[in-house]
Amino acid sequence: MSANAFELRGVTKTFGATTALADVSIAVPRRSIVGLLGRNGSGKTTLLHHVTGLVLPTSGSCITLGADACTLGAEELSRIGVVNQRDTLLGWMRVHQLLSYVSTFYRTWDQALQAELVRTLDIDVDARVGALSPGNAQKVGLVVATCHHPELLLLDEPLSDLDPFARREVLGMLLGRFRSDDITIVISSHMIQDIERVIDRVILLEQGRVVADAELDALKEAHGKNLEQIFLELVGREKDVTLAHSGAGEPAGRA
Amino acid sequence: MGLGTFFRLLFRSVMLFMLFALFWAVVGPSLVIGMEYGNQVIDAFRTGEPSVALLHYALILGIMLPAAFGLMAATASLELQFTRMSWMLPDLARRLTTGIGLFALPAAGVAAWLTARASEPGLGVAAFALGLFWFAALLHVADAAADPRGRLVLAGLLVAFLIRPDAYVAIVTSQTLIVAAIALAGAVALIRHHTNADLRRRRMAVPSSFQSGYARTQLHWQYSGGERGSWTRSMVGASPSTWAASATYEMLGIFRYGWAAMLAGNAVVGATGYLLSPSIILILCFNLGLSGIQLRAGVLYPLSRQQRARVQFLGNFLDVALMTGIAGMSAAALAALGVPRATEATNGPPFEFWMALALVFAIGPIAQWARVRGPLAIDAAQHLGRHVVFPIAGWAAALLAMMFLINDATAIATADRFLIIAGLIVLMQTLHFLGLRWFYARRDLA
Repeated sequence: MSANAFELRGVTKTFGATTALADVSIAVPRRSIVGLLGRNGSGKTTLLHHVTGLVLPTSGSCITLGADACTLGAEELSRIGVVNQRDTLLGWMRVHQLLSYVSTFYRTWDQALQAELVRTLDIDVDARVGALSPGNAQKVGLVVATCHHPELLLLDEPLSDLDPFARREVLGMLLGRFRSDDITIVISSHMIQDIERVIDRVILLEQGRVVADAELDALKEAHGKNLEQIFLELVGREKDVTLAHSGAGEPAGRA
Repeated sequence: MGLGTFFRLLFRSVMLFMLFALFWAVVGPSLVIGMEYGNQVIDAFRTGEPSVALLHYALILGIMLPAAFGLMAATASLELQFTRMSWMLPDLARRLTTGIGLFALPAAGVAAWLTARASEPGLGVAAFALGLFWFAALLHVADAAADPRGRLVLAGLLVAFLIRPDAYVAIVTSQTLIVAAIALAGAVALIRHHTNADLRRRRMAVPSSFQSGYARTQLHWQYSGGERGSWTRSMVGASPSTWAASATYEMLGIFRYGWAAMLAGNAVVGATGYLLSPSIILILCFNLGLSGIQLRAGVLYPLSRQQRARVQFLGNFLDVALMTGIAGMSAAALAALGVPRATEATNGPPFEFWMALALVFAIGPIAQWARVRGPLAIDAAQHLGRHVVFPIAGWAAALLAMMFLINDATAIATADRFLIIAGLIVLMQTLHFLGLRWFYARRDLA
């Protein structure tokens, strides 16, 4: 068994003239909780899509759970759970129907865990999925992604629509999964202060490049700041330079 | 509404369906007043002599053409207004209504000109007023935020007159002035109502799924399918056929029931193709390109890329088999009941219909390639070109093949022509399978 949950080796991905990922090389060890940070459009979602094999690299390679991500089979895919940034749930079903339907995909679906998560996250199973609030839909997405005991859980903006109480519940649930299962969790999020409490490793992307890939504690020690300040320092520096060169940021009337 | 905006909107799936409505608006009057009038209408149009047949055609065209234009204009305009953003855009509804109102003029104008040519100018003016009325009526009928009773009344009026065209013609010709006055007043009232503030406010609250008949039909069957029960079959290690059945459940919300209702549209196409012209059946190419049995794009199913390719192939095969099968069954039922077809001069012998149907089966994969990354979402903004190009390419290829195979000059026996089509089916399905395998191995799926 590979020591890493997934590994990107020199991955570059272009969409036409846009370079979404530029020579990205990272390795995420098993049993870690990784925070995937970056500004909007920095390539976080594209990176996660490479890990699941939905998107193929223009150059380089990606190894997920020891297999080439381009040729992931049913066996590897059923060991991965994903919460997507955008709604991919079937809106016309009721929640219990959706859970029942998705459960048929997996040999390891845990009905007891499902019941527990539904209760903990206060989900109305009789509600129509399409009628759920964005926050409740995210909770359902989390249940769908975790009840088959995945070894690798990829969460793309799982906290963005949750209130502070729900965020605490979800993060608590994720920690619970981390402790009870042999699991690797990657959380892509802008809620830096919230995820700082649970992650142990940080990958920071900027314009498709990795600008930081380190243990959280090591990063904090090196910079002597909290994660949000480090984020602003590493990502904001480049932006400030750009603004200074272009003259943008000057008040419009000043000239 | 600028020309660019109009074409952008025309690119949408619902607008493609509306183009079919326009097509039927032009050929429809012949169906309503009877195909046997066809030659009389053409002769009268050529000679310019007053003609009862041409008058009937023109008056019915005066319903169908403005109605189709109204439906198209409503779809384009309402799409923009069914968003919260629209409320904040100053004067949007009035400007849009003014813009789309311009579409009413040519639609009503054509029918009015034909009516005047077939009888006298006074009746032409009445036809123009009626054209404006039917345009405004469909603008109202298509508005999901409008009072459903009013929409029902107007839709009922439209259907009633199309069922009884003689009564419509009699009313218009005997009470021309009154009818024209009522029609004009009705048109003005309906267009004014279209910009009503309460109505505009209600439009923002219309869920996106209820904004078009296409989405509404699909959603209805999904909802009712959901009420009937959940999927219970284990998908662990399941074969592509089980996953294809699962895709059907996802797309339509149906597993055990509801097929007949969902496929009624194909039955109608089959019946009209059989009764009127085999080339009508080629319209199925567009259905094949817009939606079908397939798993959702961008979702992580526990299926390898090659397994997904096989599910996609099987779903596409089932899709084209079902569509052509249902169309064929409806035609076979009509033949068994002895329902008379249009004359062989316009429709050709029966084997031509079956040949056209088989060609749709053969060429179907070209149209289905439009959905290689997923079905066309009702609010899609990307990859729309594919959903236009491939169905048109499929339709054109089928039409060309049909012209070649049906041409009397073709020195190939009828049985051999069917053999050629059978070979084409095998070839196309093989290429389709290999193409999907290639695509799913090398392309992004999200």
